[in-house]
Amino acid sequence: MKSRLWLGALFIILAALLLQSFPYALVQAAPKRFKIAVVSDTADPEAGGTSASTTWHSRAVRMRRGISASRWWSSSARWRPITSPT
Amino acid sequence: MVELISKVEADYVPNLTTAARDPDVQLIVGVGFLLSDALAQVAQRFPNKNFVGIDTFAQSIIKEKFPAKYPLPNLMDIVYEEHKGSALVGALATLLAAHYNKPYIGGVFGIEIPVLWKFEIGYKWGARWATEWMFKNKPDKAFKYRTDFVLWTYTGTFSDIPKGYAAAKAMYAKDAVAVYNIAGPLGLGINQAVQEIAKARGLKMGPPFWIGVDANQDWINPGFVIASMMKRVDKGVYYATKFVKDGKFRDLVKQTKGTLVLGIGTKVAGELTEGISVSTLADLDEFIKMGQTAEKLTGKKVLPAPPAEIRAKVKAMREAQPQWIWAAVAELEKKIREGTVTVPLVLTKPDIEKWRKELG
Repeated sequence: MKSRLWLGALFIILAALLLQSFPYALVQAAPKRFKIAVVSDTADPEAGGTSASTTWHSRAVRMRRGISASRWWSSSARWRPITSPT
Repeated sequence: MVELISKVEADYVPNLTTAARDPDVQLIVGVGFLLSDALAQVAQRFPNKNFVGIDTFAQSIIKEKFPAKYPLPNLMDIVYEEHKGSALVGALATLLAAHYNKPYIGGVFGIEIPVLWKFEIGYKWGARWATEWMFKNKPDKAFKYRTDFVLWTYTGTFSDIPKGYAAAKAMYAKDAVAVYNIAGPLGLGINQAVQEIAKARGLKMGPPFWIGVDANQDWINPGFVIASMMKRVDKGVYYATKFVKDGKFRDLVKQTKGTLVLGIGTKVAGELTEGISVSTLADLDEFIKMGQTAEKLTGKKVLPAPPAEIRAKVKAMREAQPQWIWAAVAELEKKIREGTVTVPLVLTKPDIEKWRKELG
C-alpha cells in the first residue's frame, strides 16, 4: 500500500514537472489559428503622445548604456519633462 | 489580427493581458516606448506567449529589475538605426544644394533628446560625406563643407505644427534647398512653408524640397518631397511574425539578448533584416495602396490627388534631378551596408558636443 502511495506521489511530481516545461511546446505544436494582437500606445500627436514616446526612447537609450535616467534628466539643461499623454 | 488601441496609459497592462489570454494569439506586439514597462510585466505572466515591442526597452527593465530572468525568452525589443538613414538623406540634400547652387540645407527637429541626436549627426555626417564625394567625382560642383552649412532648429515640440512652419520658413528664407523633417507632424508645417513659396513662384516641383521621415511622406505634396527617410515599423512586425511562424523566435531572443536592431545591412541569423531606407517609387506605390485602403475603410479622403497623378509627379520630380545625385546616394548606401564607412552613433552629451564642434 505504502509503495503504491509513493508511486502515486512520484507520478504527480513528474507530471507537474512535465507540465511546467511543456505548455509552450504544446502551444507551438498544435496552434488552432495563428493570430497576432497589436496593442498601441497613446502616442497621438494631438495629445502630445509622440513627444512622450520619444522621451521614453531617450530614457531607454540611457538605460541600455547603464546610465540612470535621473542622471540623464539632470544633465541636460535643455530638457523639459513631458507630461503623460491624456 | 486584432488591434487594441490604448486610450490612456492605464490601458496598457489590461490590453496586453486581454491579448495574451486569447488562446489563438501567439504573438503580441506593443507599439511604442510607453509600453516598455507593461510589456516587461505581462510577458512574465504569460511565458507561453511571445511578446514584441517596437522602440521599446522592455528587456532593459528585465535586466535591471529581474537580472536572473534576463533575457526573458518570450520578449523581443525591436529598435532602428535612424542615424544611417539620416546620413543618406543628408548626402542627398547636399548634392541637391550643389546642383542648384544653394548655400544651405536644413533640419527641423522636435525636442532635443538623444534619439534625435542620432538623426542630427547622421544628417550632418552624410552632408560632409557628400562634399568629399564631389571633390573626387564631381569637382565642378564641389565645395568645402562648412560648419554653418546645415541649418538646424530644435523646436522643443513634436506637436506644435506652427513651430515647424516658422523654423522651416526661416531656413527657406536663407535659400536652403531642402529641409529634413525630424519632428513627426511638424512636417506639415514644413510643407506649408514650401507650399507658400511654390504658390508665390508658380512652381510645379522643387526646389525648395523637404524630406519626410518614418513613413513614406512623398505623397503628401508630390513634387516637393524629394524623399523620405523610412523607418519600417511594419517590417519589424513582419520579421517578428515570421520568426514565430518559423519557430525561431525564442532562439533569436537568446542570440540577440532580446533586442533586434533593424537598419541598413543588418542581419539576424544570417538573414537580411533591414528596417531603414530612403524611399523609392516602389515604396510610394505601397503607401498609395495603404492610402486607398484607408479611404475604403474610413470613407474619408486621404490622398491629396488620384494615385496615378501622385506617382507621375513624384516620378517626374525624381527624374528631373541628375542621375549622378542618385548614384552617389546609392554608393553611400552600399558603403554603409558593406561597413566600409561608419556613420557615427551619437547618444551622449559629450559625443554630441564633440560632433557639433566638427560638423556644426
